[in-house]
Amino acid sequence: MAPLTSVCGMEIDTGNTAWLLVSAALVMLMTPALGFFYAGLVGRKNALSTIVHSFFILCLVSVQFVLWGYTLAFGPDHGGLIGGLDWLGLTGVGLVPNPDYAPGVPHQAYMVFQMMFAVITPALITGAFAERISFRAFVVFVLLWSTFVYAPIAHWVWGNGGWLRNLGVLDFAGGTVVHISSGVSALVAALVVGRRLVRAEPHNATMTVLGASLLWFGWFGFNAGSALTAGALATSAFVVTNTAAAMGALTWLTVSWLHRGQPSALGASLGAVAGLVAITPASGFVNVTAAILIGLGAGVACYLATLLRPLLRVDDALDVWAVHGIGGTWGALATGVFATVAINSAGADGLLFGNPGQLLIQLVGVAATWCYAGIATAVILKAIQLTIGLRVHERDEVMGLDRSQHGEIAYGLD
Amino acid sequence: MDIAAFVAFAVLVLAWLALPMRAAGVELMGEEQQAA
Repeated sequence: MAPLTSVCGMEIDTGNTAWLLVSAALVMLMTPALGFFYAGLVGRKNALSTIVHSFFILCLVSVQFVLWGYTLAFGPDHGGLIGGLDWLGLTGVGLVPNPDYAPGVPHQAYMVFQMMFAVITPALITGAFAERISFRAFVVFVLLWSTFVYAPIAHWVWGNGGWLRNLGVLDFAGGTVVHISSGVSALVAALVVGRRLVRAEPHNATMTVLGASLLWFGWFGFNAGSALTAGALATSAFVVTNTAAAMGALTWLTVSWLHRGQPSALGASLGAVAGLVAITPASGFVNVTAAILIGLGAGVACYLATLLRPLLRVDDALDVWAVHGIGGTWGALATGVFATVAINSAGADGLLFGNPGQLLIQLVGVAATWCYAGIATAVILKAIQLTIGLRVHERDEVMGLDRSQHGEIAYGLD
Repeated sequence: MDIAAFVAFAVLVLAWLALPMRAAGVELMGEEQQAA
């Protein structure tokens, strides 16, 4: 049994607390890793600005979340839609555990774990408008999106009293909250911001493979950490996460080999991320063979979705919608198919275990997230477009955002 | 479900053995190519 301490008479499980804090650190690493993953996929004159997008969000949302993000997402419920302002500036969010969210660990440990999810979600969107958004517009967008899109959806799904949580939607680590919300918002952002003047080829595939590998590493905190306990459920989530990532990579590589004639290194990286995205909502509810099928489905579905980009004529520069929107949707629905209470008694059985109703519930969660994220993101971007503008000047876009927005360059020889 | 997982993996492995490799070689990527 883990050693116990206590705060104000409430017991702290030090083992669970240690795991949650380490998991928060693992998830933190994912945001700069995402910056490198994306930076390898853009042209060399936009590499630094792409990394800065992720790094800046880490800083910005870290402060936004303690000031008002956490209370809106997890504070006392108002109508199932949003948290109240009772915990503004972390008032009342101290070291005493909150039994509604994470019994036995300090409330601030749970808060900082959730903060890292709030950080990476808007960072995912930046891949859609890479190489053309102005830094000023980007900052305003992230603040508004984190407040008016991320916080409400997080409350619906994870907040105590949230309407999707009450409905029975299963989302272990963020298939709807993180991936569908960011993926759909990315598609809308690419539409509103418009196409790049010139579509650059990936300038550094090694950077992308390294970024994907670090994302994979951090994802163990993302999914296994979402068990909130250092025990059997975390172990199961860890194993299915690794399995689905591997299967996603193998599948995407194979499908792209079939389609283009060569096994692609970038394809393997994107496939791993697609597998990780898809297993995210399911990771605490499914067994290992289900993870293999979920990874397989992600590799096929997300690769096919990337082929739609030229047909849709939407310049989602780094395929955020294809990987996170479609991967997240597949994962959320697959949870309704493969979930079993044999893995998690607090979950539910899915279609294959005699409960087709769970698939319908998952469908409601997916539809609500698609609609709200899409509409709210469009409103936010239009408001920014009509006030301070979204894009850099054409001359600055040709020059590259590294030089035009930051006065710096990624490489000495430019 | 278990059988489906084994079959899926087997199909992938067989595909790697069977798929032809494009003979054109590696294409240059990035702006070096554009500059060229």
